[in-house]
Amino acid sequence: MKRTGPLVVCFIFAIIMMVQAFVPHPFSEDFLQLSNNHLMVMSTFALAIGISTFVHLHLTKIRKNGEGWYFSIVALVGMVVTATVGIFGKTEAGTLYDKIFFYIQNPMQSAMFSLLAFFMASAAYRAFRARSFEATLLLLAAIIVMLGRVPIGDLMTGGATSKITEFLFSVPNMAAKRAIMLGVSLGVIATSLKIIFGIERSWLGGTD
Amino acid sequence: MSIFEWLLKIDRKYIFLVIGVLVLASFFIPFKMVIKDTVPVKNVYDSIEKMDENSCVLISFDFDPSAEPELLPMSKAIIRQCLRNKVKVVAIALWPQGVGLAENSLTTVAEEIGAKRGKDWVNLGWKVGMFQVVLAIGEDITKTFSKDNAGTPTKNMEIFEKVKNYNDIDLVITLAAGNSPDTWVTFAGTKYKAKIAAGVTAVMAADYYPYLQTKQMIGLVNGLKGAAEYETLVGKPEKAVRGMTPQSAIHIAIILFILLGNIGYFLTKNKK
Repeated sequence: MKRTGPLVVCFIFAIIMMVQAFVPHPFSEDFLQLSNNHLMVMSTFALAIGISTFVHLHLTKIRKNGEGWYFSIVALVGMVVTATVGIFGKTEAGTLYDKIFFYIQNPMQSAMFSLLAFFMASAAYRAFRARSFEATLLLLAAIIVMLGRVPIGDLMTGGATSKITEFLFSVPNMAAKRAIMLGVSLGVIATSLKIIFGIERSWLGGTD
Repeated sequence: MSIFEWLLKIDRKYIFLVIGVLVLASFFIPFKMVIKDTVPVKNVYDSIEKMDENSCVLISFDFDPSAEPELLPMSKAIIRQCLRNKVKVVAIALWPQGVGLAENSLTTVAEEIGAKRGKDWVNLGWKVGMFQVVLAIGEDITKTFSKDNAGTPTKNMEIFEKVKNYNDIDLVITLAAGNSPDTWVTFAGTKYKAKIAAGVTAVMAADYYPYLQTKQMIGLVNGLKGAAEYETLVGKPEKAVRGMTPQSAIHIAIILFILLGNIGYFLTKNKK
């Protein structure tokens, strides 16, 4: 029963929701709204799980004096202070919550991401070597796109690079992306059917 | 080690140094760039230009501060165009950090233009869920977001007098650093026939060209260059246009490093 119950609920709701998508009757639309509200409530539990995992992980690290335990204190204090200010105060522009976001979180997150520019430059220098025909094609496409995505590229080539870049995006790239999207979608449909009919049961936990 | 071998193995600290120096230098050396608009960006701009007064644009801030340099200038340019043309702006966020970024863009531009919160624009904040929120807006936006980010009930807001769901929203623009454009196209576009456009980071842009071709998206603002194009179209060049100089310098530097690496590779290969 422990495993059959969820399988039956999954099957019934999947079939109902599939049928619902094709029925424009108000009852069907109301049912969609109702299930949607339930889903939003359930998503909130994911947030609760995320917070509890975060707290548990950092408390364990502090308790065990793990490497960089003092950073865990900063993480926990940061979460508690931000949440308290957000819950008990206002959140619009100019408030303390907004200032915490704009003067602490925002620069920190932006700074972390900006490091990528340095690593990407180094990785591009190492990776783009014309070792084979395919690698040469990739290298040429990368150079054209890099030039096409900055105004100086057009200045150097009289506007040719942005036109070639647009062609690369809209023709070969689009063809490949569409093929991937179709493949992924078919895979999702196949996996969904396996879950609906109880063939794929790993989501229940265990291995069978 | 010969010079060619050195070209093959340039230490990354020198690459980092060149990139760092170029970024800093390009902020101090003024270099005027001519920014030409591309079709996907122009399509978004034109669709807002063609709107009547009191039309409504929903902008979804689906990004966090890591994508701020690319997407925040884009958001400001779009909001500026809307509010200047008396098009109402309803902002929401599918990412929690998007709320603060939306608040910044909206208050900055609204102050400059003299637009009023609750009448000309509103920031509805974040709601848990992705496609659930997109679907719920299709039924009733004020039921989905009962209060705005300032805690004001949305039910009696002037902006929502004639806006209930996607039927009353003329364009949905998702500013995204993740896969939310797929969600908007699939649920708002396909189910509720909403008109969708997207503003995305440069690395993601390639993923959304299939939607442009099928017209499931009316336009696409692509990365910092797209934001610079939009700022130019709106006639107020700001951060994105300024960012074109360092971006140009870095792209040229990367291309030069790639060429040097390949010169080293071929010359040492021939030697062997």
